[in-house]
Amino acid sequence: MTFSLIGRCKRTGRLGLGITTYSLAVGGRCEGVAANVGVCKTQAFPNRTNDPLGIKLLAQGYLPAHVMEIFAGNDTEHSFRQVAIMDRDGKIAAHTGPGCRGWAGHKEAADCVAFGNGLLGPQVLDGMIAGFLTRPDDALEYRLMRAIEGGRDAGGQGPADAHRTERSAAIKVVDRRDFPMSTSASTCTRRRSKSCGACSRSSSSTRNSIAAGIPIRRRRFRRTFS
Amino acid sequence: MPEHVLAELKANDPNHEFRQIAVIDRLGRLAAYSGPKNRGWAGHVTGDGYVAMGNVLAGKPVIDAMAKAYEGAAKLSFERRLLAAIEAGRDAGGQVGNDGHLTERSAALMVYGDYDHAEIDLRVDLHDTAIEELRRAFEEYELYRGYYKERSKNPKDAMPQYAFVQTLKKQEAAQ
Repeated sequence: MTFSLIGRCKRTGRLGLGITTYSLAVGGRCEGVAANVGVCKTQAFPNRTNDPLGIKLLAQGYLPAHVMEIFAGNDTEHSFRQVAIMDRDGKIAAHTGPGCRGWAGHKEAADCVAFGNGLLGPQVLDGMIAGFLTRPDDALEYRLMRAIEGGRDAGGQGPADAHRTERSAAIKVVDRRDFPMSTSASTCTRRRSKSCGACSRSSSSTRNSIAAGIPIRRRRFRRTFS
Repeated sequence: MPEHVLAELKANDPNHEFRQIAVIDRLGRLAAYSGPKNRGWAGHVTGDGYVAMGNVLAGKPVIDAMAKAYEGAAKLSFERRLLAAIEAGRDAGGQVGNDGHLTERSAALMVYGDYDHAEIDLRVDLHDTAIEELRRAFEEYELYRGYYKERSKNPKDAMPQYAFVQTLKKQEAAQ
């Protein structure tokens, strides 16, 4: 049981995920967030090799839908996985295997996918998406926090008679550099998200794109942080 | 080679003198650098397969204690050796700034094995006693580690996590 949202800031191209679950230390299982490449997150009964593989494939130019087909062919237990993939253009693929337990599903909205399993019901996904979309001009960190808070407030995990609390939670955001701008379970990210607004050009992200074999793209929009 | 990597980092960074860096490769070759513009007491000590380093510290005893604890825990798991090292550094005085002792507010433990995902990746981002909290999270996580691995491999037969937690509680009560 887990609910999470992968998302993208259309203005800045920043990518990230917010996640929370009954399991411990979920933030330590979020390798699939890569600047200038995309986001790939496998949960439910996770296959830990999926996410690093997904990032490698996205970096080679594979589309999210095709990456998902590769996962299906590469994993005998694909029907037990729940996977969401988004590339840096916002193209999306999502999969909720029939083997996921409890109420499980995924839902797409503007620049995001909410997905979860072992949930109270679809209202949890709706709560996450509503949280994410509330203030679309905010920095991605805040939007991801509102998403997981929205999912929690909509009932979170477990059937009505057996609610399961969130025991771990994380947000992770990458900018154009090849290291996370925010990786946090409990830290206040306000200062960091503001400071990253200053570094609008990054030679390391340029190199990262070249290394990943994908074309460099310049920022199209000036970033503002509220 | 780690030495050469350090030289490249130096050549590529106008603020290199402000950095503290340790590099180790998979063969155990290592290199370390504590820039002259690090603040407070700063330094590193190297040994067989490890570097202990720090800045704004109470003094050299802190990194020596880290090294000693890491070596002394050679029979324990790698994770426990790393934890023992930072606990020993804390107990040897830890960080000291201009206004005295500075507590550890964040702490992390990260280990990679054969895969390109982390074997363990635990982090405390903001806490009054971050190392104690990291130890608490680690000891709890250790109980789940085998369960999580097995559940990923054999989802069909996996025990629900809530049921697993109940078995842990029973074990704890029986002790």
